[in-house]
Amino acid sequence: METILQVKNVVKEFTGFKLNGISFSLEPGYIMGFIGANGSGKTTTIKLIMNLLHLDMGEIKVFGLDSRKNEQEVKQRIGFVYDDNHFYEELTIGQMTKVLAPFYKHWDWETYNRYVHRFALPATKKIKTFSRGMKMKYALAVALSHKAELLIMDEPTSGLDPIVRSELLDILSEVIQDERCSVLFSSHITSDLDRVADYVTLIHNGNILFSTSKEEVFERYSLIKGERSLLGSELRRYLVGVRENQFGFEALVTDQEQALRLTGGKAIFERPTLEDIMVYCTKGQAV
Amino acid sequence: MKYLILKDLFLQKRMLVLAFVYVLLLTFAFQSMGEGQLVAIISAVGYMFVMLGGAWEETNKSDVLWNSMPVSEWQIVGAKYLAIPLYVVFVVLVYGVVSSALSLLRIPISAASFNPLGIVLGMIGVFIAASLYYPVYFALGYTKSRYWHFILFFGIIVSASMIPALFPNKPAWLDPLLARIPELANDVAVFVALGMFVVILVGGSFLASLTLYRRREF
Amino acid sequence: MICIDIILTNTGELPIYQQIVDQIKAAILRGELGADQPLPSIRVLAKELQISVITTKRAYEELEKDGLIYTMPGKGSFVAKHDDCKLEESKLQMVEDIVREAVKAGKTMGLTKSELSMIFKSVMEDE
Repeated sequence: METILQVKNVVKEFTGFKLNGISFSLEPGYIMGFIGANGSGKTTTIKLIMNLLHLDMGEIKVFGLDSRKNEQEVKQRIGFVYDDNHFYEELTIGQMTKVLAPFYKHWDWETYNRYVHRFALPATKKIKTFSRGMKMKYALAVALSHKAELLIMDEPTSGLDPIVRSELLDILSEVIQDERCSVLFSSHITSDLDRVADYVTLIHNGNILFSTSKEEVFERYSLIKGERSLLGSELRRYLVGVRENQFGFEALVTDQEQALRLTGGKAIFERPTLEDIMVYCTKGQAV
Repeated sequence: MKYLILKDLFLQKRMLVLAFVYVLLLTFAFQSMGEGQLVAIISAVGYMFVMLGGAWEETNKSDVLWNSMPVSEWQIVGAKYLAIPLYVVFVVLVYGVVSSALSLLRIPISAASFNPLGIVLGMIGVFIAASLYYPVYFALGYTKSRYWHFILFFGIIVSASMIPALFPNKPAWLDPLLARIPELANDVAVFVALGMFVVILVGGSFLASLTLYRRREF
Repeated sequence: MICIDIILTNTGELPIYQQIVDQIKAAILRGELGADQPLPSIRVLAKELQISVITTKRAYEELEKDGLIYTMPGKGSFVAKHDDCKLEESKLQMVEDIVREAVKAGKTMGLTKSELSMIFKSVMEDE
């Protein structure tokens, strides 16, 4: 099956920020976590995929189609959930959905109603009375009710409590039970992705630091902790983003075997979290 | 596309109170205009709805929503133009209620009675004002186009109310001209000319709006 | 459908796919899973264990490599037929691998053979 999303050498420049020719791709059937600090370029990239911003250079293909030339067809098959609420606050979800549904060729009222019921969303209250979590759930209900093959989510969990976040992740796992569907999930809350992400793309200051399977990321990196005296120049070659304090150092290490040898077993090695990886990789980038 | 217009109607229901207030105010302000009063009220309040429609989109940041959906730009832009006749109907209904209430309650504010010509000219007035407003709105968004909106809005009101002042002593040629208007209204050629003018203006405005909107980034 | 427990830990040294491989392998070797019994799909397993599909895929690939399961495209994965001799062999091999890892680790840290022996004996006595 063809790649569901392909971003190739995309350049976009604003005053004070630039996406520097980024590339990554996503196959059908997987969840890709798109992580990076605030302002690193995640939302810009997503807006470029959705054609809300125009590319300076490069190419974006969704379902094998050009995201600009085949914009309407592509958007039929994309479900989106954004950080901010873009629905009309003065309307009820009943009214809002009546306005949205006709635009989707494959809209499925049964599926929509099931999700509304599952999320316990009130049908007759105005959207402005909804909590943040309910607004996100409504957006999700709409996004999942037109047989979308690609779900794009831009920071959907920021500001939400852990319970709602966990519910969302369960739903994403359900979504990819269908192998034709994929999820692109941008977040700076990496703990969400620690669990369910299949692939991880880390972006920092408009550059992709890596885009690979989560397995590979955890194979590549270990967390090393030890006394400062162990920090030789040889060891530093294998370290990313060292953090030193009075009592020792902590860093990400790219070759655990070498590091083991160099530290003679005096250092502790741990499995890092995605947050550690994000923090140390971006620290390592900062000069 | 009708659903895009439907959405506008859902939202304008809210503006009922404001519509009544505006219609009342302008009925009072344009009392001395005689026959032109209806035209001026429909133009001004109709145009106000045009602007309010834009304001709603901005507060909800709905551009991001519509441009993420499989909706083409010409549908988004077109719906705003096509909503204009509906706004006019709305204003006419409100005016109907206001003028009836005024006469029933014997409040001494003169309100012109309905006449089809007045309504048509009023609609044309809104189309002309919207045609001037929309390209700026679609190019820059609601917030940045507000200044232009106010210039247009007060331009309509000021020029409408200045008409009696400009011609304090009705010039000799005016009465015969005004008398001829109903006659002219039956003159198909004049109507067609006026109609063509409006179509060209609105069409040009639509194309400009569309081109400018396509360039926008959200 | 499979009715064994798979319990994963994030805090060990062992990567998650390896934990799955070991636990399914152990269940097969203990005889809890019979020949031709269907295993959950990689996606269902991933969802239930709340991990990545790539991880479960890898685990199944390892198990298939070891000859413990087989996959039929479009149908899923199943426990392979095994004979008892091979089973015994596998059990022994598995434990030997683990002990080998322990010895390697010990050597890296500079423990001597007798120190390692002592550790092994005391653990045996404890268990």
